Amino acid sequence: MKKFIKQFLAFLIPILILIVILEITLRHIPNDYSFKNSEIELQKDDVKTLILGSSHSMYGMNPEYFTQSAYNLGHVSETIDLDYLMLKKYIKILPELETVVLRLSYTTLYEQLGVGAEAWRLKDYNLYYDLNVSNKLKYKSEVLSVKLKNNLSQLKAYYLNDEKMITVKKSGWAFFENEHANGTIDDLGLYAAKKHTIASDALVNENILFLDKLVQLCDDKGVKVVLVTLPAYKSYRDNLNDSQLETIINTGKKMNNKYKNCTYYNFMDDEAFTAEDFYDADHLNKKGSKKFSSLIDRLIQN
Amino acid sequence: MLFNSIDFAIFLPIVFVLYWFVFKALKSQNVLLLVASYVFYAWWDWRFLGLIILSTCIDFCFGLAIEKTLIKRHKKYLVTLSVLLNLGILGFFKYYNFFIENFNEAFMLFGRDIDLNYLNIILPIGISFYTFQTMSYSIDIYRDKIKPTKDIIAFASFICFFPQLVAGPIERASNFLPQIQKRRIFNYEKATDGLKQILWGLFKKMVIADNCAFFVNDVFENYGDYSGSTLFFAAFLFSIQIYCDFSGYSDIAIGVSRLFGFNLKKNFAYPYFARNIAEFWRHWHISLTTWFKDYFYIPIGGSRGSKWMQLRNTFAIFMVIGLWHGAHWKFVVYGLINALHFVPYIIRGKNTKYTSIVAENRLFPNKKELFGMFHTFLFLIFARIFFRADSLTIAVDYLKNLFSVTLFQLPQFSSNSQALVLFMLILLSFVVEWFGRDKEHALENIFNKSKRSYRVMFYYTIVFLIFYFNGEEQQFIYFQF
Repeated sequence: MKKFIKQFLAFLIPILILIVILEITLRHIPNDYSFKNSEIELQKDDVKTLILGSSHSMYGMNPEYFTQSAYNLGHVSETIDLDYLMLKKYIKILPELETVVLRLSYTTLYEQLGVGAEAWRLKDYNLYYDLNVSNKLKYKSEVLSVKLKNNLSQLKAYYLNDEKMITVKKSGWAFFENEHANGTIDDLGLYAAKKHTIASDALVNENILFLDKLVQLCDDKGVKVVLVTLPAYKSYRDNLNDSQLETIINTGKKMNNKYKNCTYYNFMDDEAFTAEDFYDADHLNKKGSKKFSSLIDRLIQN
Repeated sequence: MLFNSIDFAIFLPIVFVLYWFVFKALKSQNVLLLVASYVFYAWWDWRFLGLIILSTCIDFCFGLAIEKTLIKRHKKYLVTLSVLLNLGILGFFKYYNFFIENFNEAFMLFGRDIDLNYLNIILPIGISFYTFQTMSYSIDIYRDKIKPTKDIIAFASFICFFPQLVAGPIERASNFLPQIQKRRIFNYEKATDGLKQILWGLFKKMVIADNCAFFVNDVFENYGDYSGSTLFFAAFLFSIQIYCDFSGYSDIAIGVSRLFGFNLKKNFAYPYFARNIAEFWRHWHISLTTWFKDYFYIPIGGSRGSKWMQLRNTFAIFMVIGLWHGAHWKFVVYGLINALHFVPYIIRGKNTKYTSIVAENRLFPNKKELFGMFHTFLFLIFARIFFRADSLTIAVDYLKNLFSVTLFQLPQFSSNSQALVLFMLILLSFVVEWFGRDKEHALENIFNKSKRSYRVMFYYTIVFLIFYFNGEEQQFIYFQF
């Protein structure tokens, strides 16, 4: 038995040491999550408008074009359960907060980050926002949640190639370097619509509860909620599932009627947004986000 | 708790240390195994613990009652009741909605709308595996093959032994119960061999099966968008996935058991090197096929009697094997397709032709063996489309799309480089398995005659490949059965 334990540990210890070294070096790499967490801390006394949501929000709303001081706290693939947890954390430290802008996208009620292929992103909320979004040990570590292959590329990019790892501006807004994505907007729309159409509605009720809680939390603190469905290109809209889309829009309308502090706007087929404003069929580019941010700002001001 | 999870990586060493260093007496070790097994099972859903305890109690009591009864007829009643109770529980959880659906449809055919209600039933994980294990216990007592145990802890540990609880191998009391009732002594060779088997199981599951799933899930969900050639490759990858997923699980289960001093039954014997379908089924999910052979096929006549009887029995066993996988007609069809492929072998009396390992004492197979392996594997690729597709209609549609003019186009993958790496890894795993084909598991003898440093380097390479290429974590396919 002693021999077994000794040999097993001799085999295991180098692996464990490498894992620890890798974990430390990976956590030292700055990323959008750690950057936004420290930036919002710096700007907390001024923020009057907080933007929450997924990539649609993160790329689609630029705080620069808001009259009042705003911060974009959106992240790629962020889901409504996480929007709620983020708000719960930050609403306490934002004394001037007046408005929360939240996207209500085609997928918002149908998905949660912890369920699906993007679940690995949960570790970012655990590690860099100090939110307890999952009790799974896996999501409390960089090494355990991401493939070694991807982690090594990350290390190489930062430590060897000196690449910039932060993709967002100080305002939390992110933009696409290219005006338009590769591929035709028709194909991109079809692909995204298919990807975003979710067969199961198992999460809808739970997500509506999160939305309710989020609006109530704002109500308790005297904060307005602007719920928006962002513009999308025709090739995306035309390929959506009618029933899923109807659920989203009806929920938005219900929230609008149910809560005094909540207003819902649906810009999905707003004709003011043309192909020129889109990076792909469901994300706005720099030009589109400028246009959309100004539009939202006018609504908040009114 | 999944074998490929961090939770299990913590759970296993804790149980191991407690087992060998703290609870050294036989009784306390069995209690520890039982508690650990219930914790392991409850990690998914503690509510189903009641069901497994109920199954355990039923067969423990029936076992004793069958033994105590002296009248043969009464013994028969008792064993029948035990089997009916077990099948009743299994049938309710697994097949209730299937029968309701078919009743409703059958009545609709005659113009009557009876509209029986469906129930919202969650299938308890591993129910088909442990139910078969408990049933065989009562039947074996009835057949005087074993004596019942009076030790409920030992019996409960046999039923829910955590390494094989949720996806087998389906153990027999005659093999496993004596091991539970006898003091285990730590064996260095056995334990290190167990670790090697776990390592290989993890490689097959996390590197091969989970990466195959990435392509397979996408193609099967959107089969209408892909060319015939891509559909063929997805079906090929599914065959690889299901083998690496399930045999990977079995390797881990057997390896973990060896760490605790137990020997479980071999569940896979390199089935993709089988030279015909009969050999394949002797090497695939062995614990299930032998279960059906002993408790179903032989009692209904087996290979005795005329060719027609043999054929009837073959079709019957494949139908129940198909249905065992789930309450769906696609599984029945999958079973029947396999049975059909058996027919020529039974008629020509060649279903037991191959009993030795392929290319015995040779490095490479001969032309005949190669052709046999190729044609058997090709058949399985197509048959498994019925297994993987969501329904029978989709499977037929999938095949229609596969056999279109686009079958001769270059296959399209969402990531060509990823697909290429995956093919290389599959090739590597098959080479390793080929060299270990006469052994209990693929890594048993690999590099055993080389220097220790080379061997250790080889294990580190496997660990590295697991960390480097592991795919998105997927539940083991057979958990759903």
